[in-house]
Amino acid sequence: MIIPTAHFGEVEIDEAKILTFEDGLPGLEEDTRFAILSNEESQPISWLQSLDHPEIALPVIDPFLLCPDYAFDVSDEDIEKLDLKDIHDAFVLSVLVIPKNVRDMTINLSAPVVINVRNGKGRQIILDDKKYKVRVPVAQLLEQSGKGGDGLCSS
Amino acid sequence: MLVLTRKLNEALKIGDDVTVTVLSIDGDRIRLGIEAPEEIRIVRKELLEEIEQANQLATQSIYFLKEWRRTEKKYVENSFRQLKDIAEGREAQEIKAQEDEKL
Repeated sequence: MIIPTAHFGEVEIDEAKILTFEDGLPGLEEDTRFAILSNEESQPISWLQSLDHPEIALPVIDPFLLCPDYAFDVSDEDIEKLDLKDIHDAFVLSVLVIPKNVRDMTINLSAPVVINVRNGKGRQIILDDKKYKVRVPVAQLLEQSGKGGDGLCSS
Repeated sequence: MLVLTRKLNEALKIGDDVTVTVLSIDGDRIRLGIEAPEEIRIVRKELLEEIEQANQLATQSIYFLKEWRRTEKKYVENSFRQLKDIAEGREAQEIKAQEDEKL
């Protein structure tokens, strides 16, 4: 099917790849259908594009690229809502904030987006874990990457 | 807003299933114990607000895409290349791990 987007023009996506976020995202409760768009120029950042509002697209990234030791528990409630039967079916993304000054880019490690690849159900879950913050500077994570450890990911 | 006064170790019930108990008081810090069914999400209000705000800011990111490609081209390219290298390095590691497993 072809979906209209404000930033990427009309994009053809496989209907099977439509993601359903029953409760929307915090702050974006009206957006319940999304697709992940990969834009060659911004790789490895992808875009979580709303199918409900063409102008809404959030940059997302595989958090394990920046934080190899990132780990969290998924609550029973979230597992039930995602109908997640096997943890290997879970696909995790983190939302980025890219501000006017790109050097101040941050990653949200406190609320990962979890997608069940079996049924396309998604949720942005809120971790009950104070060590992961909402606005972690990506520049600092990049600086420490390759130097071993990921001490800046958690605090 | 309903306002109630509670002392240390006193509790209140919200509906049939939720109990909130005052566990300790230390200056302006109050520890609360909350008993509630699993399906009731309990989250610190300021954390939820911070996440809502971050998501809304995230939707603005795309508007800066063009601008930072122009003004910060080199920085963005370097950062993205670094991320790509990490991604490719990890992929290579995974493939190697899978091959090792086969052997």
